Amino acid sequence: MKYLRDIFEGIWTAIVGLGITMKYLFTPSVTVQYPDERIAVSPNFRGRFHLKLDKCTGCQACARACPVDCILIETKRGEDKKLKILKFDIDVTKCMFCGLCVEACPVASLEMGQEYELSCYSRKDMIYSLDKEYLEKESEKVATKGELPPSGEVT
Amino acid sequence: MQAIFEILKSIYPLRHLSEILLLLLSMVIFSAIILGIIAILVMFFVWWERKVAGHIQSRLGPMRVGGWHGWAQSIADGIKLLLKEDIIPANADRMLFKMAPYIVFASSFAAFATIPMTRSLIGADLNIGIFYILAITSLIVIGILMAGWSSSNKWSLYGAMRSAAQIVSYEVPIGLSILVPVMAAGSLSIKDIAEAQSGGIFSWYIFRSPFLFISFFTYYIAAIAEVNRTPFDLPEAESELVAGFHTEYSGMRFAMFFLAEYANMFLVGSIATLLFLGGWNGILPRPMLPEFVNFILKSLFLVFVMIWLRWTLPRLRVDQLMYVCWKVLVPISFFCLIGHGVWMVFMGEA
Repeated sequence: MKYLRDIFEGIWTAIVGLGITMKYLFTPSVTVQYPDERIAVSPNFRGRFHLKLDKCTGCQACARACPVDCILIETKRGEDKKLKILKFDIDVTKCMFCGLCVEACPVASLEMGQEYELSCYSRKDMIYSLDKEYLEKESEKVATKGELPPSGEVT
Repeated sequence: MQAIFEILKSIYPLRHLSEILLLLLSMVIFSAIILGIIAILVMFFVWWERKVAGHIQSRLGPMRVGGWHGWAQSIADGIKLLLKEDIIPANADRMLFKMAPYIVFASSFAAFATIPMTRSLIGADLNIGIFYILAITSLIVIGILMAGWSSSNKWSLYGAMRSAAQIVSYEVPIGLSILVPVMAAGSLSIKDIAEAQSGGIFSWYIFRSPFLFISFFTYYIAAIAEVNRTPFDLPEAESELVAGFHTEYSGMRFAMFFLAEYANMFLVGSIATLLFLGGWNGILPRPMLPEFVNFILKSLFLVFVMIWLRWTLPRLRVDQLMYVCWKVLVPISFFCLIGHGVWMVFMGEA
């Protein structure tokens, strides 16, 4: 009797298993075809840094907040007594993307964006000169607009 | 093959050649056709298996090669295997090592000679067709043993030994369950057996009697074990034996084993189709689809079930494997054999 029950149980459990796999065969797969499609990242994702140079006061609060000391800022006192930023480098080889610098910024000029594909070919490329980046972007904007912003205006 | 022979004879410049030469030529042409069909099907199976495996595990499987759902994946794999270095271990028995994959493939390919894919697409309609297939597929075990022994690798040898034990054991229930449709048709010729099932789904042997119904399943399970597929893939159990008997093989020689494995799957599917599922006869009594399409669809379905089983069930232990064979399948197929004999006497089919 146990013999027959074993055979029946073997067949029955196999059928149950086949049913489960058949169900999964027709459920949509979870794979995202990465280079072709991407998952949208959360709005408070800590990705690549961006600096709004026009807002930045050069107070170094971010550099002081950084636990691994990867932010290097050089400033010069300008004629209008404001600090002019000469250098704003973030060394991402050290950075652990904790976001403390962004929290420390009193004028919300340092931000973390959504980009996460940060691999590059050279170690030099991993030091982000955020001030130069901002200036380049601005000049591109100007080039596409085809007109110069009025002098002294803060955009 | 007879049809090809007639066609060749009717072509003008060939008419003056001797009969034997024409016969040889038609043999070559026929085997080329069958080899082509098998090669295309095997490439399809490899892709199909990976796709089904992927989707069962909520993945996608191959997606990139060739554009649409990675359809060219098998072609790319084939080219990769062709270009690979052919490595023979230093301590290997070179002669046996080189011969083994060809024996395995040749014996599974030779079995297709008596498989009638349609009424006319058949190599040789032997009056002992099914017996011939049983005999020739037994040669596979010799090739596997040669491969395992000549590799001089303990995993290969273990795999080959397991394979020998498994194939030889499972041939018993296969033989016994094949005898049931043979008894029902009163012929060993596969063509006659398939012909006897014409006339709609209810004249297929699987639905003719409860014993035929059971023996279809005993045949199918035993045949899966015979071709070393999961859940009976002990000879190449990758978690225990690296890759079993083909551990040391690479490149084209490995491809031959691979080709033979998938050709064997198709062989099992087509034998089960021909003996139990009506062969080239359609579901309706009137012919709806071409014979070849009927046959291929049914065989492909059985191959799909094999793939489906592979990605559902875990591997058996060696003692469980032998238990399933000797204590379950053999008694059941004996029971079916005797039961169907009694059934034929009392239902007046004898």
